[in-house]
Amino acid sequence: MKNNDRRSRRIALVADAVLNPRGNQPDLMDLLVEYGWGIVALPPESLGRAAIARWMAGVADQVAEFQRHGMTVVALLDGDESEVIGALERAVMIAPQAAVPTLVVPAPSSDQVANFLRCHEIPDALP
Amino acid sequence: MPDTPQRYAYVSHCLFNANAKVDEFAPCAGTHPGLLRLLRENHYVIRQMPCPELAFAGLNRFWQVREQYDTPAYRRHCSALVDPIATLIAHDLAGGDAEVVLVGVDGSPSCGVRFTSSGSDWGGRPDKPGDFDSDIVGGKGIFVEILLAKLTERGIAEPRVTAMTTDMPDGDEKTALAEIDAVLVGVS
Repeated sequence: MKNNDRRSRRIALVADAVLNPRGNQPDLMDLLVEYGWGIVALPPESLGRAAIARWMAGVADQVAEFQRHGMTVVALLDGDESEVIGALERAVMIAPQAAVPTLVVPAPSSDQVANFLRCHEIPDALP
Repeated sequence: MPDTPQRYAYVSHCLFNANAKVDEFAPCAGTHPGLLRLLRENHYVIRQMPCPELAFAGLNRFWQVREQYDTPAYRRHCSALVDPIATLIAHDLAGGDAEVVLVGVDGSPSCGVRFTSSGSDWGGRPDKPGDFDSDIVGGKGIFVEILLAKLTERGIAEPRVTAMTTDMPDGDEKTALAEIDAVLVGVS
């Protein structure tokens, strides 16, 4: 990247529950901002199977392009959203070379999420 | 907030993922902290839209103007991405007591909501060394144009729009966030 471009080369695929925390759940977006991660939002489970699949096709294309350029991609998923997780697996993670380190929320604590992000924060060498 | 409509903000992808920006245009590491703060303060449900340029032209794409992206293939690509977004907007509005705001990127050939880039002489050898060698004209980017057309097809009124303007000549973040905040607050 050139000049004053400030991108981190770190992207988290995030469940709707991460982008829009419910009730008293911690706002994990604060952590993602603090550690300099961009996000790719996954659709809410309520969208329905067909539209989720169409949404995931676009996510898969984006993930492939980020990984092709050596960027770090992880996923923070909602364990209650089996339809979204299944669609993501089918669209993105089916090929071993496209494996995405994944943490399921909201069960983990904020500290666990912070540790997960720190473990994966170093992107691959610049292409 | 039981007495107010549920508010949904559909934001352009790069506002929450600067890694998708065309080279030299990432203003932050990843998620724009100021925009996230405004959306949280105003109790919006956040919906991030996909980046149409990233998957189509890739991370190494050159800067381009609207005319260069305005091809049948790019429109089909945008339409495929927009389809589930329009479905989700319809779903969000289905309860009746809800409102949608579209937060775009003015100056973008794809995601401009009030202004987009234009240059009839752009093409061939990249020979535009300046940051703003294209013209900025009134109008929408192609992705936004297609999204709004899909909403019209579904009988959904055009949502209120606002935009980050830091990709515009003389655009600055403070002014942009103040303008966005005014629109977010002003939704009745």
